[in-house]
Amino acid sequence: MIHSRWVVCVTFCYSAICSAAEPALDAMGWLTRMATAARQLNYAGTFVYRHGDQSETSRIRHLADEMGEIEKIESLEGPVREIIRNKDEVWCYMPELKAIKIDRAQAKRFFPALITNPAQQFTEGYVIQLRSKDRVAGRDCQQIHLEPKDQFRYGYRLCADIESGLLLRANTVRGREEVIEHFSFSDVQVGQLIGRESLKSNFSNENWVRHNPPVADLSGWMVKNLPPGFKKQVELRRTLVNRPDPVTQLLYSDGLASVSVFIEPRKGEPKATARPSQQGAVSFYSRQMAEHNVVVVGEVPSIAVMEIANSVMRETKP
Amino acid sequence: MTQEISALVDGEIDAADLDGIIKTCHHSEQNKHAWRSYHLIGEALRAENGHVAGLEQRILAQLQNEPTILAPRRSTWVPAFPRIALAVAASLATISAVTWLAFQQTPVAQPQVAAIPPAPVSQPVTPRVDDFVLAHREFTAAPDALIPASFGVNGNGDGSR
Repeated sequence: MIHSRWVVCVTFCYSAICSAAEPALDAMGWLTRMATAARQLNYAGTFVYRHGDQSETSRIRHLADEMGEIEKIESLEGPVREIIRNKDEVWCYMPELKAIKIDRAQAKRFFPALITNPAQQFTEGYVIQLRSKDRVAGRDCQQIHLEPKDQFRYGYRLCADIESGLLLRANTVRGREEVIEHFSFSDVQVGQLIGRESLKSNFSNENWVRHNPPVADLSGWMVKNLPPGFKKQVELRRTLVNRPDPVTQLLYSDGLASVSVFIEPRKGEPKATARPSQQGAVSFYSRQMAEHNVVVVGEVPSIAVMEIANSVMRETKP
Repeated sequence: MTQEISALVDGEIDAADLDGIIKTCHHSEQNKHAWRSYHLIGEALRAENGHVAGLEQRILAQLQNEPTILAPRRSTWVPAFPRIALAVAASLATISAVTWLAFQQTPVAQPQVAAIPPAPVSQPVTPRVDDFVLAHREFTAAPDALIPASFGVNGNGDGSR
């Protein structure tokens, strides 16, 4: 058993690190390689995130060894933020607030780990194409385009490091050209030694306030007409700012785009239904039901949030 | 006439009446004065402008002259304070939250609003948006949404020491 595991591991590492020498991969092969590289390689670099007219820069260090995966992300602009992610949990340190927010690791992933395996999950929603080569952060990269098959999602333009397979740039695209969300390394080193010590927090968190993850909960709510390829990731019951009552949150994803459905009990008279609205890649729509408000938010076109909001229904009484 | 000017300043006039009111505005010194004053009052209540304080006397005089018009004006702006304050605080903490306030002003489809300019402050849906957006973006790769909505910029939430 141990022996066969080693064989798998060695094969995996070989395909992740050494496949530059292999015959050309197809587009699906590149997606698989990208997902594996982000998890299994050591890398350190600086990346820029742009959304709407906002931009911010972060530094990431990722280590994968026999003890598992661990990464540290630090904000380089605005308030100091430090995120440490290990295989189970994501800890976000907010020093000026003397607070730590803890989340489950499977619910949160960061650039460059945007693509997860299996790559087949993307075929329902996207046409995946291999394109020309390009350069990002001084490294040659292979472009892979995911074109949406329907009007319920945006397109994605990825560029993966030819040498290592690591995702170096990801653009979310509306229509043919308009980039509405953008991740890109400005500088990255792949495959170097990284000490575990350097991935520890810079802060002593004595007497800081700890915020634990919201509680997973089955509410009995469901979305009848989900766009193809979208699957439920988590279902939570949580308290939001300025809201005395807890709300239900259902998170759906097609592997790239994600959509949250919020349901809260309605108090008072129904209000006018909001028009769908958009900010950058994020669409927002709310709808009044007999006794509840439904709010849908996601990095999808507004038709998708409307479609989802309009098919929210109660499966069973909780 | 001052009521119409006040409504005009707040963008609450029907498009059909717009031309007439703007013309009348220009025709009398008193109306021009009212136009300027209402803008100043709006700015002062929103605390948009540092130098507005120097004009306090003029605004106070205006307040005394026309109390019946100014009272309702106040009531439309004042409820906006906690919402705007929240959005600003959130943006300081999360870098980007304040832009979500603009949501209401960028409608995608607006067949029914062609004639009436939107009045974002008076619509209840606007301030709710950023809470939900932040709660959603905790689960996306965006590094800008690291302060979760359940955390609360004013200290509430499910924290424990």
